[in-house]
Amino acid sequence: MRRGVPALILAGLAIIGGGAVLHAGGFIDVTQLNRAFSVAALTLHVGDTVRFNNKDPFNHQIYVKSLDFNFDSPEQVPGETVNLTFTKPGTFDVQCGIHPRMHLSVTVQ
Amino acid sequence: MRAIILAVALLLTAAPAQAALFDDLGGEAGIGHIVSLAAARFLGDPRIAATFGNTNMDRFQRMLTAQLCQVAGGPCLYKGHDMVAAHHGLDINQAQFNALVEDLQDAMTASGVAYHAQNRLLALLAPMQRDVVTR
Repeated sequence: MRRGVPALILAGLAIIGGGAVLHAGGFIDVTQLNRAFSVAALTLHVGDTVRFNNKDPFNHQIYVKSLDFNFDSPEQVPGETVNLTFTKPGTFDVQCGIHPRMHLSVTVQ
Repeated sequence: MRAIILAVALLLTAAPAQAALFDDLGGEAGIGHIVSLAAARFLGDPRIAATFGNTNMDRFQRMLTAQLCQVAGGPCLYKGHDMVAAHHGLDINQAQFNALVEDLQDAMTASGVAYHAQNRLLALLAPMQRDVVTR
């Protein structure tokens, strides 16, 4: 059991000022609940993937629109996970196409 | 046996009645116009505007048009959520529900929909109240 602790620490995520910096093998989980993302901001590295899990009883939809990086998921039904891999550095506003107040700021280093 | 015959007869007469309602609302284009007017009223109505603050109104209008079209007997298929899921967490009260109905009636009047047709549509929508109002 104790051998697992360092791995957990390495894989863990540190919450800093409402945002999160992480490394969990290049993956971080973000939930969508009550028409909001579970975190307001994230700092990642190029190649990291955010797994968005819809825990609301209705659809969400993930998109990023920028000059350098774009993403547009299909509608995400309740319980479904959408993976978004960031392949470019920069700061991106992840939004929900159905609920316009949902924003997640992702800084990719 | 009589009950079955009566039920079948009711089903056979209900479908044309609803199709007639679809026509009375102006078909799919007419319903789309009603929804467009209604959406503008929802957003301009201080009693309910806040409940639409986190809503993609373009998508909302597409979904509501499909829903009303289907309810009215038109050739549309509403693919959205049931009313319980769609309104989850919005904490809508009876006054807000009534305000929305008033705005919808106002939009139908502005679209030239006859009063009796308005009432037929509202009667079909009325059972949704129990799924929408949660406080």
